[in-house]
Amino acid sequence: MSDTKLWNIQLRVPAEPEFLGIVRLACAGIAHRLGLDHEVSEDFKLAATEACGHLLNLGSQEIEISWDISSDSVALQVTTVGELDAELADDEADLEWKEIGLLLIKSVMDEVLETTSPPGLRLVKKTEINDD
Amino acid sequence: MDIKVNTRVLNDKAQAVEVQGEIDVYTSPRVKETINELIEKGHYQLVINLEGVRYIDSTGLGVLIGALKKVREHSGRILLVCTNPQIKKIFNITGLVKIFEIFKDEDEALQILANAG
Repeated sequence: MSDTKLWNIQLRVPAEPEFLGIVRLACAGIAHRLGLDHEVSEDFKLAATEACGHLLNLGSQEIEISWDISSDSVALQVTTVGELDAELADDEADLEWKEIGLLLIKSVMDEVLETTSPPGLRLVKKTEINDD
Repeated sequence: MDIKVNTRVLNDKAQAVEVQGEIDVYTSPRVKETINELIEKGHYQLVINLEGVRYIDSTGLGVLIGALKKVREHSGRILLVCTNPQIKKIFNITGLVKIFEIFKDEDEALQILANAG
């Protein structure tokens, strides 16, 4: 089956913990629209939340989540937006639990790539998508 | 805040912590605060009921692990009640299923505590 690009959806939220619930709602809504089953929907919610949590303490004002939906995969690109402010950064963020977060992401997604410019994560889940 | 955390007495030794909602980096401090208050009051046998939890992330797991370390310093125990397959999947992925005692309901957890004396 060829990999045909179907849609791109973008969401930009303040880099604050209270907005992670909105990211999960968006994941659930998109998964529902794509006809994905409940377990896959939960995997996206987990991966997106952990990815955002990974970026929360870097000092950006906002985080952008982009869903690239193709006929055979869904790719989430989660990145910081704009310049990083050292005064907002928290170097003492719990690294151990960041690693656990990455473990969770890698367990539920098929591809995980850390990007540096801007800092972020690209997460890919192979799954068949019908465009009807 | 999409989280509710209630505590209640189960018996003369054990306290229940009932959590409802989503445990993430935003809500986990509320869970941590409630559990820590119980531990500081000398309650070291805790049954944490996650039946109403729809979602837990790595920070939520960190809160539970932190609490487990604290009660173990006093020879205490934390027993989890959880049947949600998505939540159990996260405990399995992280290997925490080997560290936490997980039960299907509070009665089963209480029975274990009673058998332990």
